[in-house]
Order: sequence, then structure tokens, then C-alpha cells
Amino acid sequence: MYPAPFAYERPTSLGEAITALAADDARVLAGGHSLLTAVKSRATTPGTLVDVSELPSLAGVDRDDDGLWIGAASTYAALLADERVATVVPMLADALASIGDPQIRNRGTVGGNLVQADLGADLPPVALVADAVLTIHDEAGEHQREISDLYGEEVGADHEPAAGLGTSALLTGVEFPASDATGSAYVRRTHPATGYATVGVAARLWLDGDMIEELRLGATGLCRRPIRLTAVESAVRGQSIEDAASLATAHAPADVTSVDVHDDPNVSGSFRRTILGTVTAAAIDRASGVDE
Amino acid sequence: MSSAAALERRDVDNEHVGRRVERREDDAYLRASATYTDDIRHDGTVQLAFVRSSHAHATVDEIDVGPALAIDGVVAAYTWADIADSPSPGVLPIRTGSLERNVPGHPVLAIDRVRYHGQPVAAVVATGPYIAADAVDAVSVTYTPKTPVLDPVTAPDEDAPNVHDGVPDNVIARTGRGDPTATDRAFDCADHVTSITLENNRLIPNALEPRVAQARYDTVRDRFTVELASQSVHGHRRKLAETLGVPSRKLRVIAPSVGGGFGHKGHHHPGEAMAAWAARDLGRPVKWTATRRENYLEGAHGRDHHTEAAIALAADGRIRGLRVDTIANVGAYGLGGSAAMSGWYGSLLSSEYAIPAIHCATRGVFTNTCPIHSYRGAGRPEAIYVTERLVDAAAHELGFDPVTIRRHNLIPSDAFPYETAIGTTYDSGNYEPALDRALDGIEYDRLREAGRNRADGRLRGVGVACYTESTGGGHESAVVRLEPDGHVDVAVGTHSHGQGHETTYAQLVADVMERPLANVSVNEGDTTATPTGTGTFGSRSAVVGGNAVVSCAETVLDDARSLAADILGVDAVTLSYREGHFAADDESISLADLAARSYAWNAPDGVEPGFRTATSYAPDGTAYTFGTHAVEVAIEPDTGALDIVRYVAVDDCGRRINPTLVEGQVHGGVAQGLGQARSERTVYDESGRLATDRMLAYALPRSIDVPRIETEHTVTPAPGNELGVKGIGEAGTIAAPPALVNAVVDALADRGVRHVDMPVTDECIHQTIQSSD
Amino acid sequence: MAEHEVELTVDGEAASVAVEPRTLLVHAIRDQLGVTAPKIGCETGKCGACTVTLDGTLVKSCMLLAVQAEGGTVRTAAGMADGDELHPIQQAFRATHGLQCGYCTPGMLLAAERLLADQPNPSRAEIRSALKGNICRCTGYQHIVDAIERAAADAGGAP
Repeated sequence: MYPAPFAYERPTSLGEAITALAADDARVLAGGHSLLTAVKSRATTPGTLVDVSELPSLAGVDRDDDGLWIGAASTYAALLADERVATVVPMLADALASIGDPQIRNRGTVGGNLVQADLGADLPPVALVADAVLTIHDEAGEHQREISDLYGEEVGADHEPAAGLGTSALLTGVEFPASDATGSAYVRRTHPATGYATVGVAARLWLDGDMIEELRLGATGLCRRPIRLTAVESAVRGQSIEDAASLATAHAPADVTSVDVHDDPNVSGSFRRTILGTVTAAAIDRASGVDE
Repeated sequence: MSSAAALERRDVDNEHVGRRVERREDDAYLRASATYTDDIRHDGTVQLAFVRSSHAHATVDEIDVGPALAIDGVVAAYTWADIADSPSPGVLPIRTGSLERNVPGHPVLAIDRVRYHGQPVAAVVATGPYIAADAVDAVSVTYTPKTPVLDPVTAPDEDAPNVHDGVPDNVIARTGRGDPTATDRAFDCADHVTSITLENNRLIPNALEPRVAQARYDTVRDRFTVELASQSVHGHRRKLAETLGVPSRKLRVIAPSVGGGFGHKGHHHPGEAMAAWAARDLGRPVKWTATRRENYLEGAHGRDHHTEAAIALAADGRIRGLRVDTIANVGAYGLGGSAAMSGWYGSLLSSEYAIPAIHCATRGVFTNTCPIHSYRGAGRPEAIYVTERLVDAAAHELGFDPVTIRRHNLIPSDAFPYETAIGTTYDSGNYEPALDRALDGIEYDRLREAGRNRADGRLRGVGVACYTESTGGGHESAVVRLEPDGHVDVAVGTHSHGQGHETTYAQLVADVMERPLANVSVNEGDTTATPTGTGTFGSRSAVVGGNAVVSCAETVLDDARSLAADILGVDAVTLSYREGHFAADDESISLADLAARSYAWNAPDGVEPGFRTATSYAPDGTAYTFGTHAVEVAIEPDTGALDIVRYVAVDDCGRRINPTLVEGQVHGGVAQGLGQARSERTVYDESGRLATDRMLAYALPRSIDVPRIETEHTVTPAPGNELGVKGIGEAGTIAAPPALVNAVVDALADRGVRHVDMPVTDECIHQTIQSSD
Repeated sequence: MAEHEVELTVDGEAASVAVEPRTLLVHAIRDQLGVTAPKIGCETGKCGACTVTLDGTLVKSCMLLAVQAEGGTVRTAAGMADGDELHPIQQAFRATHGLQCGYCTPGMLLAAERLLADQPNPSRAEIRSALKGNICRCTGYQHIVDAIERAAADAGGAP
């Protein structure tokens, strides 16, 4: 309940922020809804928290022909209130709406969700399916990174940010490139205790009539990084949408055979594996009815 | 004139009793101005925090508090050595009456050995909670781990390690209730025997307000004042006095507003004892506030019964006998009477049925886990669960509808008072109407006709559970007096922690005295205001406290009547009384006038100021609440996802003082019962560390998890108390678990499923379906 | 660690508190400003007893540092009533027995107020969904849902 001492910085420019983040054990404080829980239990003891709330242009939404740009410090609630999000990336709106509760949606941020990538976090699979592009600032300046870089092979220990980001780097924005998909959706089963997804699946679908031309699937809740469900994707490609549900259920297990699926006192890994197919089928079904 | 007469006479025009009176206490809660213990501020208060064992079972080799003391703002650090050097025993008293062996109670700080994860090992005191937490981290403790005993079922085995050295088989209490010979005979003659093995899952009570205490010590008068979140200030005073080694008179215990209790806040824990001890040691006010995690680790847990049971039946479905063998987990220490609890639990095993022979054997066993004590229901949910599951299982085996077999065995309404084969006497009951209402409510016949398999692919099930609940034990103290302006002051030894006593007691007194509610004040929760008392637990306050205040109020009125008669020079019996005025012919005198005269220096001999009347009331026997709950569920076979489609609760708690508050108790009880049945799972990992130590790991029911609860009632007044009331606080926690599990098993019955253990999570249902296919 | 001066307006009262960076907003409000309306129930952001609004936004005050609220306007349940007159939502809670022990009530009231501001005529399912972040252990939520439904009806939202 009572955090250990730490220093607190609230930079007003990106340069100051990057400098502050170079300090030992510095961590970015955005919404704080993943980080502070760990800080309060002293599971993590940062030396400095760098509050990014006063950095310019870290929040907000911009839409152009290339896609949708979202400031990393945008809260879930702010994005849910922005019609452009649901219009351009329906699965993102689904995922945002399923996060936590009203209070959490008011504080939690897109950047925090993606970087912290807690088990069962809803946004990482959506970003993965969307091939989101991250804008990152560090000592070398601004550069773009693929979302898949962030979730390389390992995400880092509990309560630590995604390993792919590097220390003293700041995620400032996420670009969801424009897509010509037919539809997309995100569906989850909610964990009875944590409130995160037990299993959540993001689906983006290209249909030609009833035929599935292309499908991209990302899943959360299985391990500490989102995974693509490539076995289901290829099984479903070229098949009728009518058959998608049974194909998804049949092939989803193949996507997690080599994954060390998380067990917890409430939900076993084997159950997560079990419902993956059903959740995937539901996501595909929903995506087929939601126009992108 | 008895209380019953007073209120019955007024049945037709009762102003308050039986009505949906809005709660008077709510204004303060709604304004968030009610004071809970943590809200109180005393100048100079320091914060106490515990260093807790990181092991389930270990010897404590060394404790170094030095680094903690070096932190700026740290005032003190204590270990058992400090307690041992003090005049206080420092061990929470254990009630040993019915126990096999004398075993040590729970020391406020560990003595050389820790016996559960989270047990207090040392205490630090600092100027504030943040520094206290830093100090806790700075204390280093060296342990030598020992093998923990974690499974209560194998704890009595010869090769199991021992939690306590003097208890080689880890069994602290062994009881047998009922008649074993008659039960054996019943089984020998039975046409059919149904057996079941079941677990009543371990629960962690989660009153939303964590446990908290503030203690002050008056060095001049050698007196403690302890404010704490308590259901029973008198109980806590008695126990604290023992732990501190001081007479009760040296302790004033106050419970301000209390944020939920559920039994948990009736128990004596180390926190309040250590706060009081440190307040005396330091001569400063000391505050202790449990974090939620500490509440999980060290606040007494509930349930955790492991039972083998069998029911013997005749071919026609009549129950011949019931045999129950239960291992009850006690945890690492007995707290108060907790270790003896396993013996009380058999009382309700007959549920609503005429069962000629019952035998119940229990063993209370120690394990290296948090102590277990009574949690909302306290033995009743465990007992009813056994019988209601067995009856359902027997019905399925014999091919009877579960309702038919229940109806066939109900104790008939003309059989009361009814002595069950386990030896308890049910005061009253009329079970069939409640059962019928529940079945009508859930549309039982329609559901049966529609069958288990529906067009939407989901499996439907309907579950029914009948129950009885023993309520209103012990005695309770009340004091009623008039203030000089005629205002009625009521003090009671119970303590509301959400039940609404300020309203219900006032409703009773206002009707007896024919005064507006606004003219009645109710005080609880201060050992100075009510010198004696018992407390609020076990669904007892309306029964025992309610009758106590009514009895006092009537005496006050009678005494006022005598004075009125004297003043008016008439015979008391000729006086009429109406709404605060005694009248005879054309003369009248008001209650306020009489009250004022009673306080006057020249008041007549024998007149108590304010007609102050104190009583200790005990009902004539236990009041048995009963009812039937029914639930309809729908299950998605592919994932096990369960939806509670409808929930109907029909309860009979005799006369209802405030129907809205009764319904509130039912809703809350059912929600907690469904929490046990559906989601609440307590897990110690292989090393004995509590894995479900946060709300993010222990699945409490949220707003979206609890279905709408449709309530109905019947009224069978309790014959053993003048008001005819019965308790209702625990009914939902008793009925909901078997009703839900029965419904799930019913939904899966076509697949040969006979039982599922709680919590019946989606995963559990899915697994059951998989293994039955 | 160095203390920070934080300016806060709580229920209309402007104040300045010196806090360590690690001080949680709920502790600054309760222990330093003496406004005990927000309660502490869990520590993991689950129970919602500490719910307040910060600059009009519903938040859990144990999930923010006090320094993060610098210059902010906090409203607690203690600020809802208009003098002697309870807020209509408070009145609805009283009328429907929407509280028992009262400990979750400050958070529930603010969550309800926020919901009705956004959605004057919510369904029961929407009400339950809006209360997901607030645990109640006494009422089984039913009378709380009733209260919010009633408050909506009283405000003319529902038919």
C-alpha cells in the first residue's frame, strides 16, 4: 500500500524527459495504472518516476489517409469518446471498451498499455494485428519502430516494461496504418479476479463475398507477450466465413503448442488454451459484421 | 403486558414495525461524514505495522530490528522478547472447553517459530504509515524453513509433520454428534445409499473496510481506550483484557462506524492487541491499519471443510439416515472458539427433513495456514451444503425429481417443535409454502418441461435448496431511559456494521412507546454506554437485541404509568395511553412531563430518573429461519461459461421488522453465497505461501457478476421470543451455494455428472463436461 | 526524498499540502487535508472505495500520486449535498436502501453521478457495467442498481 521512496520529475519538454529517463531506475509514469500497483506493493522500486503528463503533443488523435495517429498518453476514455477510433480501427475501440472499469479507462493510457504489456492487456494484440508503428524518442532522437520489435521473444520480467523498447526511451505515439480490410473486432473473456482478459483475440478480416481472403489474428492472455495465431490464419484463408468458427476452434491449439501458457490460481493455462479457439471464432464472427 | 401483546395489539396500525422505513443512519453515510476507525485523528498518533512471516512453517533464528530503528521517524520496534518482558501474556486467548488438548493460543508476535505465511513476527512503530512500511522492510529475519502441513485431509496422517509439538496428529478437536448405532442400523436397512465427497471451499472474508484499531493509554488512570472495527465491543474487551493481562474494567472499547464485518470483525486478532500494548509502552496513541493484503494473510479465513457423507433411503425416497464425516481446517492456531467450531456445525444437518438417524463425526485439524474462524453463516452453510447436495444426488440416482424427494421428506408443519436426530430442536416451521413459492417463482414445472437442451446450444439447469438457520443465540443487554424532555434513549450491546439497528430498534421502541422515530435515539458500540453486552453476529441482533429493547421500553412505559397514576390520583389500570400522553377522564399528563419529574430532586421514592430500565434478554430457545432458494442456469458447453438466468429466494424470518432491510440482508447474503459457489478460491502454493493475497487474485463478486435476486417471503413467527422474529443475516450464504451447485449438476446430469466442487468456475464446468464426455 | 508543495482544491476548499513524491492522492486527501470521504479498501485499484473526481474525471485516488494531481480540483462524495439538501442521487440511495455499511458508498455515489451525467437513462445492465470498478460486499449491488435507476427516473431520464 505504501510505496518505497522515489524521486519525481515532471518534464515539460521531450529533451528534459529523455534526460530524466537516463537516471538509474527511472520509469515513465503516464496513467500509472499498471506501474503504481507494482510500486505500491513494492514489487518494483523505481528510483525516479518521470511523469509525462505535461509533455506537449503526447495525447490526442490525428487521422489522415495513411491512418490513425494516437498520442501515447491518450487515455482509453478519451479515445472511446473519439469517433474516428471506432471508424478507422474498430477492433481498437472494442479493446478499449473492454478494459477495466470507468475509473481505469479514465487514467490508463495507450502507451502504458502497450509498453507495460501486462498479462491479458487488451491493446498489444490489436497493435500487433494492425502492424502499428511506434514513435519512440530516446537520446538518439525520434525514430519509428515496428510493434513486433517491442514484443520480440521476451517481454521482460513482471512489472517491467516490454524489453524491446530499451531503457530511457519514451514511446510518444502509435500509428495505426490505414487498412483496406473488410472488418475488425476484438473479443475477450474477462478474468474473474484481475479484470484483464483471460484470453482476448483481435481479428482483422478481408472478405470477398463469403470467402475469407485474408485474416490476421492476435491473442493476449496466454503469456506476457501478444502472439499471432498463424495456424488459424492459414487454415481459414480461402475458406468460407461460414466455416471460420469450426476452423478456428480446430486450429487454435496449434498456435499455442510451443507457448508456455500462464497459470494462475483462478485460471489454468490449459483452460486458456481451451477457450482460445472459441474466443477466436467469436472475434472472427464479430469482425465479419463490423465494417472497417 | 408482554411485548408481543404490545405490538400485536397495534398490528393493525403499527406506525413503524413491519414497514419499509428509510434508514435513519443513512444521512451520515451518504454525506460521507460517518466516522470509521481509520477516520479518527488523535494528536501525536504513531503508526504500528507488522513484519510478517514469509514462510508457512519455520523456526525464527534471528530478528534484527536495528536497521529499522535507524530510520528517521521510527519510534520503536518489538519482538516477542519485548512482550515476554512485559506484564502482558501477549497470547490471544483460545477457548479450550471442548478441545482435546491444551494448545497454545496465537501469540501477538511469533515465539521462535512461525506457523503460517503472514504471521506477525515483529512490530514497528513510526510517525506515519509510509515510514512504518519502510521500517518493516528494514527488519531482517532469519528463518530455518520446516516442512509445512498444508492439506487438512492428510494432516492427521502419521507421517505428516506437526504444526504444534504437543499435537502429534494435528487434530485439535474431535466430536461425534447424533446416534452412531441408530445411524448404522438405518444404513443397514436402507434400500439405497448415496455417498458423496465434497469440499466446502476456504473463503477469505473481505469486509470492504480492512481491520483497524486505534489505542490510547491513560498513564494516570491506568486505562486503555481502544477504538476498533468491531462487531462486538464487549467481546473484544474481554479478549483484549486477557491478551493484555489487565482486568476488563481497565479497558474501554469503542466501535465507531464499521465497514462490514461478516464474522471476521468479531474475532480478536493480533493488531488491536499489539496497538494497545504499544500505546501503553510508548505512552502515545497508536494506530494500526491492516492493508488489504494483510487482511488476506492474517485475518481469519472461513469454511474449509472436507466431508465424506452418505444418505440412506427407502425405495420410496424416504430418508432413513445420514452419516457425515468432516475434517475441518482450523489453520495454524485456534482463535477464540474457532477450534471448537467444527463440533457445532452438525446442528443443522437435518436441514428441513425428517431424518430418523444422523451421525456426524468431525475432526478439527491444524495446518500451516491462516487461522480459520466463523465467517457469515459459521457452520450453517457447511452443514446445509452437505445435506442439500446429498438429497439432490440421491434424487438423481433414484430417478426422483429433486423437488419430489424434498417434498416427500419435509418435516410436517404440525410437527413443531421438532427435535432432529442430531439433537437440535427446531422451534417452528412451515416449509411447504416456502418451497411452493420458490418453485412458482422460478417456474419450475415449465423449466422441467422445456428440458436441459435448448435451441441456443446452451445447457439449462435448475437447482433448489431448502435450508434452516439457527438464529438468535445468547443474551443481550439493553438500557432504555427517557431524557428529561421525554426523548427516548436506547443503548444496546449489539453493534450494527451495516444492518441498520439505528432504524430497526427505533422502529420497535417507537411503536411500543407510541413516539415518533425522531424521538428515539439508539446507541451501540461503546462499552461505557452499555456496560454489558454480547454483540452482532450469528443473525442474532433482531431476535435478542430487538426483544431486549422492547422489554425495556415496556418497563419504562409501565414505570411512567405508575408515576402518572400517582400524580393524577387514579388507579394505573384506568389510565389510557396514546402517543405520549396518559389520560384518565378529563385529565392527562405527557411522557415528557413525567420524564422531567422523574429527574427532579423531589421525585417520588423508587422512581428511577428517566425510568431507566436495564435488562439482559435471552430468548426461549433458538429461532429457526428457513426457506427455499431456486436458481436457473445456462451453460455454454464449449467453454463452460455459466449464466445465472434467474435467482429466486423465499425466506421465512418470522415477523419482519423492516422488509426492505430484510431484503437487503438476503441480497447481500446471496451475493456472498454465490461468490463462494462461483468464484472465490483461496490458494496456498506448494510452499504454503498464500497465492490469492490481493483483490486482483481473489475473485470477489462484482456488480456484473451478481444476478438480480427475486425475493419473496412467508411468515412463521418464532414462538420463543415475544416479537416472533428470526434472524436473516446469513440465509443467503447458506442457501445460495447448494442451490447453484444443484443447478449446475442438474444442467450436466444427462452427461452423468453427479457433483462439482466449489467454486464452480467456467473452467471447472468445462473440465467436468470434458471428463464426462 | 524532497517534499513537493501540491496545490489542490478539494470540495471547493483550496489548500496546499507538502507531500513526498510517493504519497498517494488518497492519503493526501484523507490524512493531510482531513477529508475522509474517500475510503481505502484494497490497495490494488480494484475496490473503488477511494473514488473521487479529479478535474471532473472519475478516478481511484489510491491509483494516483498526490503530485500528479497538482493544481487539480477534487470532488469527493462529501461535496455532493447542497447544504442540508442531499443530492438527488443520495436521496435515491436512501430511498432504495442502496447502502448498508456505507464504506463503498462514497465511491458508488460518485460513479453513479458520473454515469447519469453521461447517460441519463441507463439500462440496468449499463448501470452494473458502470459500477464494475466499485466493490460492495453488503448489498449484492441490487439496491444500488435500484437507486441509480430511481435517480435517473426522478431526473426525468427514464419513462
